Amino acid sequence: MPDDLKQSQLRTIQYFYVDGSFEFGFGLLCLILAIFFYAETSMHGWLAALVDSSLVLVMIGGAWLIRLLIKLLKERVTWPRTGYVTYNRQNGSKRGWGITLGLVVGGLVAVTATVLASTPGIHLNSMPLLSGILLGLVLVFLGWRTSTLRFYLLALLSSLLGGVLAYSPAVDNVALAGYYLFFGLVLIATGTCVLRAYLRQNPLQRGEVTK
Amino acid sequence: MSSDLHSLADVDRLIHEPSRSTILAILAVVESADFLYLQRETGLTKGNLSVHLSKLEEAGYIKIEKTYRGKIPLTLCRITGEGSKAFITYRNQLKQFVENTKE
Repeated sequence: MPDDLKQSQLRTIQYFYVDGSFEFGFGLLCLILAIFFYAETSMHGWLAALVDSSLVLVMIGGAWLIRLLIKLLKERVTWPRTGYVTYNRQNGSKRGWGITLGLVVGGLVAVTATVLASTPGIHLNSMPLLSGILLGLVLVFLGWRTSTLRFYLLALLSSLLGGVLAYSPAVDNVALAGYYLFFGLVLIATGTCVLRAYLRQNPLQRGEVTK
Repeated sequence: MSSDLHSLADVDRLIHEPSRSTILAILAVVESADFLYLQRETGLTKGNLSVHLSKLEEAGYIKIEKTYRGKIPLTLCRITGEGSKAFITYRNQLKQFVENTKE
């Protein structure tokens, strides 16, 4: 296929990430998780157990809120400027393979981090290290799929941050809250820069409406 | 005529036009795209894009749906099964021709 056709297809795939809304959403989810993990460490008794068991709800509710936020941002900012695009959901077998691969890689990283953390003589908070590497892998996958350099840089930063906090003297959950706080802020800062660049390159034309 | 030249001669002329092949290439990787996105991506004027879209729709390669998002009119385009098949065939024919051609 000629290169310009390939480029058009690549730009169309990249279009979802062109306005920084993904970083905003992902960053907000990280901040929600930071608050959750910090709250977990400061609570005791039945309250701690209640907070502990609500992680799945926080994740699902947070993901739903973030999807809503991304859609709102795109509706107000992106679609009136550069157009509306919806993407195909992966079909059954492809999606199944993706989930299986994700679980295998996640499992391998979890086992490695646990083995490292339980090795005598090594003080290591396994959770921030694990989160740093896993989110890093997700970002590497995104970078590869969309040929976008900033995702590789964010992946590197996530792994480095996880690695640094793994050796911090803070207890595991505080270090984990710290990881999500710092990385969430980094993502939101990145999203802001990407959005600013997008708005500069694509001013709203006269006659176009924001809603 | 050699087989690679045959493959080039057999390409779908409707898709072989650069603007229309770009439109199909874009629609092949998404569920749907609106008129504004296609216009920005192809660099065509509104009139030209309308003509190309109509030709592709007449051939059954794309489906055009006129709808509204809030109060704003929205023209959504999506590739059909037939269009997807035709684009894959076209892509393979081009690939074969390029691979068999010396620089």
